[in-house]
Order: sequence, then C-alpha cells, then structure tokens
Amino acid sequence: MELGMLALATALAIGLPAIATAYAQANIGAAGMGAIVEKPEVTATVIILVAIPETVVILGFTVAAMIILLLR
Amino acid sequence: MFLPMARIQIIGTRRCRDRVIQVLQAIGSVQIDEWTVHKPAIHPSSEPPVSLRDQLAYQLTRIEALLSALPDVPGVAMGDYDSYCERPPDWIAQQAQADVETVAAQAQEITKLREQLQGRLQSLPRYKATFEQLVPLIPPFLNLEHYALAAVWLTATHETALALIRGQLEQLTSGACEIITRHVDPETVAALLIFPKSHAAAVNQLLGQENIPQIRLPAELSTEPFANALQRIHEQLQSIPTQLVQLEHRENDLSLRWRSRLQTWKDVITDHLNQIDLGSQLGQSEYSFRAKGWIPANRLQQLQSELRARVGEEVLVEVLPTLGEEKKEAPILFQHSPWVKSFQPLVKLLGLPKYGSLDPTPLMALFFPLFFGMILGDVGHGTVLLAAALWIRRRYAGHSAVRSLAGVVIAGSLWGVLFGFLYGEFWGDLGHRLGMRPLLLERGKEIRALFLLTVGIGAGHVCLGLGLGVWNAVRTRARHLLLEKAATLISLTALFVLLAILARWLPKSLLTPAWILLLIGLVILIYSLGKVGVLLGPLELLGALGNILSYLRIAAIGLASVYLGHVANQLAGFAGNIVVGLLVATLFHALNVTLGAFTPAIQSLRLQYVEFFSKFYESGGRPFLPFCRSRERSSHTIIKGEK
Repeated sequence: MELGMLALATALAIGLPAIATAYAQANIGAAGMGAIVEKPEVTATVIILVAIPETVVILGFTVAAMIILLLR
Repeated sequence: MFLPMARIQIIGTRRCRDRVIQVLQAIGSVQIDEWTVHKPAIHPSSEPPVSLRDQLAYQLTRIEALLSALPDVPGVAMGDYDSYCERPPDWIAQQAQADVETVAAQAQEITKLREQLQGRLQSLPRYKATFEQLVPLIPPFLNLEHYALAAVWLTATHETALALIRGQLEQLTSGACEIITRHVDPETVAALLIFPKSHAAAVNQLLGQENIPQIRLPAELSTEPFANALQRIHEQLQSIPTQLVQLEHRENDLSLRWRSRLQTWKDVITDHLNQIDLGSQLGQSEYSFRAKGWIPANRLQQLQSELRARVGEEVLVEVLPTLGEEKKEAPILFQHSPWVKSFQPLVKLLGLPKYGSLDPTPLMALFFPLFFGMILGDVGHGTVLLAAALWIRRRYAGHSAVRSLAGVVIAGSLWGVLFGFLYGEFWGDLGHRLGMRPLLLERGKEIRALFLLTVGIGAGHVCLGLGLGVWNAVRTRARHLLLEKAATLISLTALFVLLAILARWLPKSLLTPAWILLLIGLVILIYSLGKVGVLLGPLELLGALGNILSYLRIAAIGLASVYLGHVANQLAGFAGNIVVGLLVATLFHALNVTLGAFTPAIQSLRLQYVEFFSKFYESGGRPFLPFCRSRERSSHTIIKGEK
C-alpha cells in the first residue's frame, strides 16, 4: 500500500508540473508566435519566455527522482 | 572580442565633398552617422541633385525589372565594376540607359513573341476541334468567291434560336442562304451559316444583335477557306513548340550576353545613389562639410593616408574622444576565430552586446556544446550527428548560416562522443552489453551522482556569470549592479558552505562564519535593490538558487534519452527475429538521435540565455555597417582583408 502511494506521489510529482508547464507553454507559445510575426527580432526573447516554465517540470522531475531514490 | 572602434570626424572643403564620399565608399571601413544639427553654421545638405538621382533610380528600377525577367544563366563576369565606380553619375546614367534600351527592346520582342505563341498554343486546339466538326458540313460545290461562311456554336438548350436566326437570315438574303447544323456533343450544336458575301456585314450585325458569338479564325487565317485553315492550324500546332524552344535559346543567349553587365550597372547605380544620399545627410556650410562616424581603430591610419593620397590636403580626419555613454554607442564588429564565429548567430539572437561590455561569444562557444554533449552523451548518437554535420558543412559550403549551424552541431556532437565514453553509452546500453564501461559514471544507474554533477556544474556556471557581472559592473562603474551581483555571489557562496557542512564535507566550525556571510550578503543585496529590496533581495537569491537547480535539466533530458535507448534495445531483443529486431532498434534509435539533435540544443541554449547571460549580458549594441560598395556589403561585419 505504502509503495503504491509512493509510486502515485512520484507520478503526481512529475505529471502535475508537466500539465501546468504544457498549459503555460501553449499560451506563451501562441502569443510568442504572434509577436515574432510582428517583430522577428524578439525571437530569442520568445524562446526564453517559452523555456521559462520548463523549470517547474524539471523541479517536479527532481522530486519524483528523489522519491524513487527513497524507494531503493 | 570586439574590434576597438575610433570615433572620427571628417572635415573638408565643399568642393571635395563628392570625391571624399567616393573614396570613403571605395575604402568601405567607415560607418557614417547621420548629421544632427548642433550649430546654425552647419546644416545637413539641402540640395541633393534630385533630377540626376531620379534618373539613376529610374534606370535602377528598369534594370531590376530586366534582371528579374531574364533567365538566371551563368554569364561571363564583367570586370568593369571598379572602373565604373570612379565614373561620374551622369555618365553612368547615360551608359546604363543605352544598354537598358538595347536589352529591353530585345527582351520585349521575345516576351511578345512568346505570349503570342503561347496564346495560339492555347487557342488553336479549340479552333481545331471546331473546324474538324464544321469542315465536313461545307458543301463541296460551294463557290467561296461569292459566298461567305460564319460558324457559331450553341448550347443544345438554345438550339431553338437557330430557327429564329434562319428566318431572319432568309429575310436578309431573300432566301439565298443555308444553315447546316451538327451536334458536336450532346451539349453543343455547331452551325455553319452560308450566305452571299454582299450580306456579310448585315449577317455580322444580326449575330451581334442576337448575342451569338461567332467562331473567328486568327487574323492570319481569316482569309483562308475553312479546309485550308484547318490544315494551317495542324501545321502551326506542330511548329509552335519548336518556335518556343528557339525563343528560349534566344532569351538564354541574351541573358548570357547581358546579365552580368546589367548586374554591374545595378551595383554601380546603387553605389552612386548611396553616395548621393550620403551627401545629403552630411553637415555642410557654404564652403565646408563635416561628417562623424566610426572606424575600426586599426584602419584609421589607412583611411587618413588614402584620403590624403586620393583627395589631397583639403580634407582632414580627426579622432574624437569618446566618453561614458557615447562610447557604448560605438558599433559592434566581432573579431573571432572561425570556430567561435560559428556561435555568433546564437548570441545575435539575443541582440548584439553593447560596445565595451563583455563579448559572450567565446563563452557561448565553450559552454553551449559542453552542455549539449552532456545531455546527448552517447558515442553512437554523437558520431551520427557529427557525420551529418560534417556532410552538411561540406555540402552547403557557400551558405554561411548553414555552415555556422553545422559548426555548432560539430562542436556539440564532439562533446557528445566524449561524454558517451564518460557515461559508457553506445546506442543506449548496447555498449554496456558489448563490454564498454563508463569512465566517469553510469547515467542510468548513478542518478544521485548525476544530479550532484549537474547541480555542481550549474553552481559553477551561475557563479561564473555572477563573477562576470561583477567584472562588467566594475568596468562600467555601475555601483548598484556591482553591489547586487557581488551580494548574490557572496550569499550563494555562504549557502554552498552551509550545504557542504550539512553534507559533512566541511567542519562544523565553519557554520557561524557561513551564517554571518549569508547575512552580510543578504543585507548588501537588499540595500542594492533600493526601497523594495526587502522583498526583492530574498527573491533574487531564491531566483539564483532556482537557476542552479535548473541545470538538473541536463540530467533529466539525458536520462530520458538513456531510457529511450534502453527501450529500443530491449524491444529489439523481444522481437525474436534479427531483421525485425534491427528494424525496431533502428527506428527507436533514429527517433532518439533526432530528438538528440534538437532537445539538447534548446535546453543548452536556454541555460545560456536564462541562467548564464542574465547575470552579466548587456544587450543593445548596434552592428557595424560601413559605408561601402554594394558588392562588399554582404560582408559588412568583416572588413576587407580582415579575419
């Protein structure tokens, strides 16, 4: 039971930030593409803005990995 | 690094102004700033030779139109460009006009003929189909000297109109007429109207009134009898493709003879227009002119000697002192080795750095491929990417952007191969199965060590960025920036010491000094951020910590690649058939290599832009765009003879 809960926690730790990141990136990406069409010189800024939410999922991954390491 | 720039002022007599502009363009190493009026005595020139400029602009438009119309065949390069650049603009306008007239006349003739032939090629098959239906209807005994023919097509639904036409035609010709009809297809009826020639005008009027279109022969066949016309149509349909090919050859020949000459005129006229435009942007009084600009410091002496030799003593170049903000306005001209140069586009994506700040390109050239390789970390994947990049670099040797991109991938894949050996990975765990052992750590199993490695590298990278930020702030004398970067660096160092004490890597006796250091760092940080420092200071420190943890993506993305490789090899093992197994493995590894080309690049770029550059990078620079001839403009970031 405890193992199952830990596995579930691991999945949630990576899954929820992934969903949140995807949601944020979808909105930023769509707006960013619009901005690039208007001003191509903002391409790098848009890349940065799209990449920023990824940190959340990386941190989620870290937590998930920590839980897995605890299981070992 | 940036090539040092010198701010210069060129002063000369009014009469030598045009010659100076010509020489400046030929030298091609001075960026002239638009003159802003400071003193009433010096004004931007208000008398550009409008009519001459218009003449040149008009010829340029015609030349561009001709160049776009003529086929792009490789012609013989014309070597007159340099000598034409020295000629006066009115001579250029006259000569160019004469050439344009000659080419335009021939090009227009060819275009007209082609349009005619293509029009006939489209219309003649319709005539052919029509006349093939109508010719058998013509009575063989018909005397065409006295009788005229008119052919019409009607849709089957309007067939009843024929009875009406017949009635009116009989009335017109007093019965001396005949209408022969034939169904061409279920939808169409062809009708041939035969009537005395004397009534031709009246019949035409009648058909026009009834809105019935006649099938008219092309002008050159209109006098022929229908049967002869059909024969001529057959002949023309056979000969037109040959004529079109001959026209194409003629056009290619014209392009071969004239294209490079027209291109030369285009460049020469563009240069002269630029000279005229620059002349109107300089500051000038009744007897003198002045121009301010920038030149690479190592070209200053050459400019002075060239102007003296080619213009004389009537012009003077003086170096102006640059202080504070004005120095930052200097244009940017990179001076890099070919290897580092490949990474310039990645830096330029963020906007050029300001003159006098730190050039991040060498750092990008070091860290971008390093992180790329750390994520990729597979001998097999790295080798494939390396081979592909080498091939692309060779195949597209003429495309500088593609070559740069290939150079970046080459560097990244080399690091990828190196880290492949360090991780002991060759096509996932295939290397391990074949006896390959990691030189550093096995990513798939030693996750804790991998995390520590990536976070450690992140800490080092972020601290380096902060250190560069401190150095930049010292150089630019930005006190608040210096305090902010230094305080963040001090706080981070204190936090690292605390973490090391917790991990028992350092003695507990350092605990109190570490706390004091952290406190000092935080206080300075809060002070440096001003009134909202209490709120922003801790957030800034947390942000820096978040930046360091962000380097865990190197481990995360790398692990995803490792596991995909494992899956590929395991699935291949499950296949039970060597061919199917190889196919499955190839498919999965191909996917992994494709992802391995893009994902590490994006993640590594993000680490440079967000985590590293944000600590020291100062964008807002402007590119060095020297006033030069159009044939040298493509290489404006690299001056002639300079690496």
